[in-house]
Amino acid sequence: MRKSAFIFAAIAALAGCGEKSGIEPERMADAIFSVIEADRASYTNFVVNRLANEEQVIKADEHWKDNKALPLPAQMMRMGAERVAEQEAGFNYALLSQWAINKQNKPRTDLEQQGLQFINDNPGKNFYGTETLGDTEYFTAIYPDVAVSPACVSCHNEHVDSPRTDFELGETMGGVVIRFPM
Amino acid sequence: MNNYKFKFWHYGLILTLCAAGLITYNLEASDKSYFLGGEATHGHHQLELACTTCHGDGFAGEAFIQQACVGCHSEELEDANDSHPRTKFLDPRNANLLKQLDARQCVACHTEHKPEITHDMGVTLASDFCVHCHSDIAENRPNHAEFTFDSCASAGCHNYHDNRYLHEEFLAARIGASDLVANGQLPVRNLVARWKQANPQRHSLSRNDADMTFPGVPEDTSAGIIQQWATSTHAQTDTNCSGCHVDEKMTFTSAEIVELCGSCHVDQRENFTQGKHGLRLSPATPETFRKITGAMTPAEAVIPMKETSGKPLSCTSCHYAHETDTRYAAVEACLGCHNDEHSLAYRSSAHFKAWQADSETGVSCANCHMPRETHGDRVVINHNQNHNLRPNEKMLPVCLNCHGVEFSVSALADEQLLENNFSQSVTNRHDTFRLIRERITKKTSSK
Ligand code: HEC
Repeated sequence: MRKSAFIFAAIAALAGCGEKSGIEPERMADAIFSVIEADRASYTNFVVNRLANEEQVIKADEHWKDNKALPLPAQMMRMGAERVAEQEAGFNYALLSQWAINKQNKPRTDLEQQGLQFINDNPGKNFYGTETLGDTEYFTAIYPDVAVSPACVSCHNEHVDSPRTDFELGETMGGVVIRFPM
Repeated sequence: MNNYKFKFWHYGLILTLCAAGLITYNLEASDKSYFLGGEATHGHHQLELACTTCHGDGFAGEAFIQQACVGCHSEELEDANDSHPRTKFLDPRNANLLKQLDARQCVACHTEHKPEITHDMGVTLASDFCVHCHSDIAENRPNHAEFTFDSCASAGCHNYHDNRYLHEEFLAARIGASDLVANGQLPVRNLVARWKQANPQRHSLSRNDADMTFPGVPEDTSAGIIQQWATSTHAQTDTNCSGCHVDEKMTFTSAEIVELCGSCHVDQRENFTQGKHGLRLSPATPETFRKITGAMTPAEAVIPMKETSGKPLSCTSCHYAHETDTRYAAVEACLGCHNDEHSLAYRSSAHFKAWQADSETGVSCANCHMPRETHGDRVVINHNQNHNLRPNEKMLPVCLNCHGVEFSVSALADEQLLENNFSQSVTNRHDTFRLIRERITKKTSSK
């Protein structure tokens, strides 16, 4: 009897610990975003902008494999996102925009629509919400994706499929969507 | 005993036991054919009795089947730069789309054993399947409004997986090239030259170097064989009789031949067992299956074959064992079995006439169907003759050695030309180039 009471207490304590060490989904999403954003900005500035625009030694091209070119920053990010999804890491992320070159990157869910609008209307702010997709409820965070480099602006403004041709440096061009199942 | 009265249920019992015995025998010791739930597609029919390759122990679930597809086809999909890889659909934002079509599973579009609903490329969906996700295409590409969704992937414009040679930039970069490229030529084969370079210390062999006698073989036959060998690339590359006739072995099964040749010609064996000629010897199938069935015979093919073609397929079905002249393997060997319209029309084609005049500049069956692929400084003949037919735009790199892209894409999309082996001129120019020209104009003006 004593023994089972002890085991019960131990389990309760462990379960309590588990809960205490849990991180708020918002903080978790913020942390993940900072990694995504840091990698993305570094790749765009120190690889794509330097080699393709400044030193002009190699191009960044959608068909990077065929043309022996650099993957576009958006493709680079998607490669990472797909790898994370494949590993079933417990979260997903994607790069979307209301002015998407690739129409598959347009907002698809109501919350995506709402969140992208919010980050455009409120520069510097993030958007958090919950939504049900399929049979699962998700915590969804949306962060502004900003034109951090001249390469972002020139490439999008000149792209034949871009619905906008007036992006400027520092402006929000789209959003990074991060999701966890709840 | 004579008085024993069989009751009705005794007969029932005996019948049931017999049936059970027969079924168990078929499952455990024979070819499992009683368990086949409908004919397999032309791509898998040779393997339809290698059940465990795809179904595991019979109770393996979806994940096992998916893994079986990927196990054989993933390399090809990766090479193809797959436009719709599974990874594209893992994001939960696709949940609604996946409800309509679960594109994460190969079998969502390629269900096996359903011959009544199987279309080209083993697709078992209605041919307008693109509509599930791209119904709004005309909003973004107004010039696509005139096309129907069943034409997206069937008219030679797009493929679901492999768009390497159909995407806009590829075509735009090559548009306007003349139909016949001046001095067009295939990559030059370099296997022997590369071997000589890598093995400078080794020398060619001649008749007198043959290291085998032929007990029981008539003198003039063996002299003939030695003569053939002495002029072959095997003799040139220091490969003596005993290299193949280990322990003086004289008779080989088809599986043994493929194994033996493949011990040196590794790429060729791998590709051969990926294509329909050698699929049954694929290491992906269970060993017991390979033992029971061996390689396929031409008579078992689902496309028309000549009646004379009987033996199980192996390297020596097309290449003589002792003579290594590939001219025979490149045309006569094919036409010795294949009896469909395209094959029968070959000898009246311009490609064949050029081949007869000069096999360096002419075009054989093998030149298109077993393409010369350049890997670094190696030129390898791909011995999977089905590789560039799934879908046939994969053959474009071969065509483009000698023809312009508009001519080639148009020819590959023209059913009649495929049937008559390109024996007429290419008159119907493919619509895709009208759209590409529009895009080029739009692009230049957007910069
Ligand atoms: C060399 C051209 C190029 C550069 C540089 C570039 N992009 Fe893109 N971007 C594209 C293309 C093309 C796509 C669509 C790619 C896809 O999804 O396959 C894209 C996609 C995106 C998307 C997703 C929505 C859409 O348009 O499809 C966002 C958001 C985006 N880029 C923002 C940026 C930002 C911010 C930068 C700089 C950090 C940047 N891009 C740099 C070409 C470029």
